[in-house]
Amino acid sequence: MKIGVFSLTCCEGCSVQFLNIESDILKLVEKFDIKNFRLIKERNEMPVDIAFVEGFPSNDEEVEKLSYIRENSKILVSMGACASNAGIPGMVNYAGKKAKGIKEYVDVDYFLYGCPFSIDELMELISCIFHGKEFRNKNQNVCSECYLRGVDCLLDKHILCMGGVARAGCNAVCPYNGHECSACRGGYEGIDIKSHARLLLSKGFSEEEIIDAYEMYMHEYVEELKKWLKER
Amino acid sequence: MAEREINIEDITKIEGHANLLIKIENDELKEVRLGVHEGKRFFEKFMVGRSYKKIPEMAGRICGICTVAHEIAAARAVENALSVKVPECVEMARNMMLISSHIQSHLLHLCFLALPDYVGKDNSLEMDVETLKKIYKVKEAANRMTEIIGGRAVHPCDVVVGGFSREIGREDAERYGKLIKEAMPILEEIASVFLTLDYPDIRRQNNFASLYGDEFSLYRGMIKTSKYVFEEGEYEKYIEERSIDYSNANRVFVRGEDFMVGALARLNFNEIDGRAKEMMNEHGIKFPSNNSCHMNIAQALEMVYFAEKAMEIADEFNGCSERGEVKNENGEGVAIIEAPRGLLLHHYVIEKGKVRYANIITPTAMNLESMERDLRWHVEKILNRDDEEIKKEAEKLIRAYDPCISCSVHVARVV
Repeated sequence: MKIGVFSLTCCEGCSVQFLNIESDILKLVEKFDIKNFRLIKERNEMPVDIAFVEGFPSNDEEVEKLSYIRENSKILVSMGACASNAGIPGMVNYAGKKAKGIKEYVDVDYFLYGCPFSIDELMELISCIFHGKEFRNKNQNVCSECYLRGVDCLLDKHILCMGGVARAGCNAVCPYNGHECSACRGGYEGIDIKSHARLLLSKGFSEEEIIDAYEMYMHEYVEELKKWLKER
Repeated sequence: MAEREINIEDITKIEGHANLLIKIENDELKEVRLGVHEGKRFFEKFMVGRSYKKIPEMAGRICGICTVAHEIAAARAVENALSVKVPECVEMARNMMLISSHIQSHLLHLCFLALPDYVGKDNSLEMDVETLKKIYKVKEAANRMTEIIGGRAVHPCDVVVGGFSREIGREDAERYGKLIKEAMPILEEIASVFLTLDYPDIRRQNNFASLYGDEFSLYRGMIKTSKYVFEEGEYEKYIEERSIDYSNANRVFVRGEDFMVGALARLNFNEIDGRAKEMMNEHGIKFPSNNSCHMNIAQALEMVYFAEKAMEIADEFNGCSERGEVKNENGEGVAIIEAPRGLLLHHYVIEKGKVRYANIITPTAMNLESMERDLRWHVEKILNRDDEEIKKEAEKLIRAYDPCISCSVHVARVV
């Protein structure tokens, strides 16, 4: 199978993460042919079977590039927070336009969430594609992973944690290291932001602090959150 | 001979997206333009209005390779702004992280981006498996080391204003030290490859800038250029940014002159010792050097030098659970540290706990002008060669600078 790793506007941390598969990349090279990876290759070819795309389109050329990648790949994988919903830069407008994830422009077959994405999930996805099995994203919150790792709840230490609404799959790496979850993997399906906001208010966080926390990686929920806070 | 135009639309094997245009008319070099077409990301804009507590985490997202440097520079600038006294053990742990991330970044640049040019390969994954295994063994070690201190290799998650969000234990430093010790022989072997390569001879730049002090530090120091020595807080008197029409990244000057930052600048101004010094002598290498392509040699030596320093720090480290306390939430602060690619500047004004002003100047932004002038200087001398050869030489030179284009544009301010 031919693989391509493509980069739109972003920090390229997901490309670096791709190289950080470390020694497993050598096993990967045996089974797959990396045909396109501008960060490490000079001669890059199309089409590919699987296109991994990091970043979001920040100008017309990048929108065109993204369409070209879609047209020339069988499977397109959104890699990381920026591809998924523009990540942290999604907080501002670009040339008058709101920064958006790649699914707003092209069909996406799979999502690897996170800032950066998790290597374990990438390996699982590749293995699923290779063996023709179904790949499913985790659909529970980060709290569930904290619970499994025995991490004390950060909300009780008055740290504003987004774990309650954030999609799991990172093994709660930030809370495990004493740092709040910023929801870099976005919300899981069917989240209830009202209950979450109510919980945060009851723990003594201000409306402004809650909005700030949602603005980092959960921009698509900010309007709904603000509306609820105003009407409650 | 009439007009020739050499155009590289998307330079490969560099971090980020840049293009190069060379125009030659009647055997005369008319134009060299190094453009950056990657989209701007306005970090300095959306940091404004945010709580200072979130700044290190956000700053890390400027770059996926030098993420540690951005996090630490941001934390230190905020600490300077809010007069936070940072415990010594925090600085030791931050130094350990900086060193492992430098080694990781240098390995990525030397082995994956630069080396193919010198061994006639398209990319490093085409090299023999045994060599690749060695490269990966040390790269993996460097990543694990960053992870031991930072919780994660790409975008470490425990760097906060004042210190770390968790306790870093003595046993963490022991694991860290063990990894670097095991990696050392391979690291030396890899480094020695870059001491013997045949580099293009590009001796135009005489103006360098790096941290400088009693000790060779990546974390803190005076800023030394070929003409001036100043403190980080005084940068506005010396460093100036200008925007240009064909690039999304600004150009940076010291009192009107272009300059070069990075490993070469660091070794030009700082003494190294230990095994790295021995290797330098064994290969008859001397600093200062003003050949820009010697950046590769300097990075190779730095990996060995800092690996030894990292072992010393890890040995002395007795754990750290303290954190500097934030007592006031107003102030202005600057921090300049050494990122893998050179001086990295973060500057914040904080009012009532919120960022009111942010300015970030990255090493690649500092290097772009020098890179373009070096290109002009070098291409002028090889005009009689064919397009393909000129292109190859130009790419070698650009890659020697190890540009991180993502960094350079991601902080462009909205005009």
